[in-house]
Amino acid sequence: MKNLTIKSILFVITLSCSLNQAHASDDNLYQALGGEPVINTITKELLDRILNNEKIAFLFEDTVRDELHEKIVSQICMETGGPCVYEGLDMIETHSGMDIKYSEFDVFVSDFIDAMEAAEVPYRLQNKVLAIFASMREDITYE
Amino acid sequence: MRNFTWLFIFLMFASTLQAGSRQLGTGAVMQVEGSSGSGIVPWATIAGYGESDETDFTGAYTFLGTDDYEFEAHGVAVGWHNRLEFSLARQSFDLDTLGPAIGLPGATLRQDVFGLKVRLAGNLVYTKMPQIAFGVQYKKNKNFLIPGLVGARDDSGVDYYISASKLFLAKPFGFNGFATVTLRSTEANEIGLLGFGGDLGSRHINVETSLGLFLNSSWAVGFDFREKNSNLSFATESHWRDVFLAWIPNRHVSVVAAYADIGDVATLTDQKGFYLSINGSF
Ligand code: HEM
Repeated sequence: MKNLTIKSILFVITLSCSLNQAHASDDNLYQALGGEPVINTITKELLDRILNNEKIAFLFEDTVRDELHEKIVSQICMETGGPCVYEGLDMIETHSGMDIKYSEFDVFVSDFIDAMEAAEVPYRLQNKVLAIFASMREDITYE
Repeated sequence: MRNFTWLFIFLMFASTLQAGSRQLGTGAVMQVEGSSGSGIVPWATIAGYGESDETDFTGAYTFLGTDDYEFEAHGVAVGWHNRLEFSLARQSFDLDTLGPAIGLPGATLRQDVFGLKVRLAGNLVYTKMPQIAFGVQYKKNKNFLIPGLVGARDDSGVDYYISASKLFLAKPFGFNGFATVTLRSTEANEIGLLGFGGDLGSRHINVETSLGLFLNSSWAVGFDFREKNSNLSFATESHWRDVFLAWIPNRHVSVVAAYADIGDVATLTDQKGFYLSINGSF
């Protein structure tokens, strides 16, 4: 049984190490998602949700939807390895001063997951997309 | 049956209220001693779904039946701001076979466990480092006659543990894997049901681990392992292990079915059986 314990610990360590290579294998995530049309749908579904979600909508009072749509599409495209260059502000600049709480970030992520679900993105691809954006939490929130 | 009625009322009530905003599954479930974790292992997670400005309540009922024993636990927990967790669990362990054999038909071991856990660092999902927590379980045996007779020294004891838990987004193979390693310092005999300390020793540091995978957003599979020690010469203790299947349809309800192997317990060998745990949260 000691043996099993040691094996489990090794497994955890291996998993932790492979986490650092998350970006390396994402070259064709853009393709796997279905490229521009699917990213467009995800973004539309995302904005439908966050702009109407009473827990976070107040933060977007002055938002011009089309502009934000375009920026988010190009950001998802670029981050998933697609042929785009995101030209918006960086995540710290954009969100600093908004005092976004961890709970609001999680509400946003839930809406993002629902948006990918609505865009019929398969579960395992959803997770790959989330793995990219999850690491941005500390830049976006103020806590 | 009464248990189920209460549980049903609780779940109905829970589902009418709002839960915290953490992602589905990140509240884990209530383990046998009332702490947030998986079946037999406490994790570094804080009960419920509350984030740094939210407080969640959870309750759970757990049953494990083996050839010769029946284990039951009722627990409640509060998760405060994803920082602190308070929990209370009442356990009972029916000696279906041993009781009659020692002339005490209907004998049951009982204990209450008061738990406190504090998240020290990290976030299960979002940080590269694992979520790390320190916890205490104060255990009070409520029926010390039998533990005393077999040589237990104390009817109460404190377990201390440090736990690291991590969810691996999209690892392995695009699924979300999760892992926990917990180190526990304990003097408990059979987690405290047979009291604390004995003729062979008292405090030990044990390794516990839990590994698993979300198959999709609401189903997870995994296994737990919990190292144990023998303080009482009348019977050796076995390490515990289980394999589990968890169903988490929403932030209010989760159900865990497991097959648990608790080995030799109080001289009766090879105790295995099904484990069922129902959790409600709001
Ligand atoms: C991983 C998560 C997130 C990503 C990738 C993201 C991405 C972006 C991008 C690309 C922009 C446009 C920047 C620009 O104007 O140049 C933006 C703006 C903004 N974001 Fe986020 N965001 C995230 C999370 C959040 C959260 C959690 C909130 C609030 C709950 C939020 C609120 C806003 C607001 C209010 C704006 C300004 C919109 C405007 O132009 O009026 N974001 N975000």
